[in-house]
Amino acid sequence: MTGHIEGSPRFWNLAKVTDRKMETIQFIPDPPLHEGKEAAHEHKVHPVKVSELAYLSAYVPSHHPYFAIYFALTGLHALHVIAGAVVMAYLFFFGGKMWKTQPERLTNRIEVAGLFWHFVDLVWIFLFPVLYLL
Amino acid sequence: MSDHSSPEQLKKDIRVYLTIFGALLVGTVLTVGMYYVHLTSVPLTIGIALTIATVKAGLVAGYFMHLISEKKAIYATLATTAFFFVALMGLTLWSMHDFPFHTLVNGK
Repeated sequence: MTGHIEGSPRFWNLAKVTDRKMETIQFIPDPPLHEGKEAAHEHKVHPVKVSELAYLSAYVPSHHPYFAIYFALTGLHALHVIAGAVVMAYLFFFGGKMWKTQPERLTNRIEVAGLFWHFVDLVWIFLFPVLYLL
Repeated sequence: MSDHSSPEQLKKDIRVYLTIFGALLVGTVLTVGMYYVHLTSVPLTIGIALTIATVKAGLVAGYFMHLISEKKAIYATLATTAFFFVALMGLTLWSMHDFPFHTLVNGK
């Protein structure tokens, strides 16, 4: 049976739910499928006692190796994007001073920043279809 | 790295970059479009998606990263990288055969 939990259970697990002294969580099962489509809106709320739960986990890295790999890949990529953006912002706002004194060194720096940026781009070309489309 | 280019050469370069940018956009549309075409064969879907990605990667590396007009030493370095990439992927595949698939699947 699939469904969703009322509230914002993004980081919930059994320990957190117990810590908050929640007695029940509100589970809303998905309506049964009828010829591949969801039946009319039957969003009944089923209270589930926390004391009866055996296991509760959100889609955090520890939920499953898939999510561990997913967040490692996307998180590391995000760090690379941020680093590239910081370097390019620096060259954009503060590079002008160097252009007047050492134009050769500045163009070299821009070239290398561009190489790094396109490497990050290259990674995303593979990550996007593999993570989100396949 | 910084060869002195004339304004005409610069204009030509920019035209090349814009063409590559257009080709990459087409590639992205193709990749996303594939999501809406439901192929029954999973290996074929993965194959097509990764082929489009490889072509796009080739364009980025070749033109945006100037790989197409590089010196021999750069290609030698790249070959080393390619070798170790394949070796690492091979190790991953190798280790998969060490996993006792038939003894433990989802705890059952």
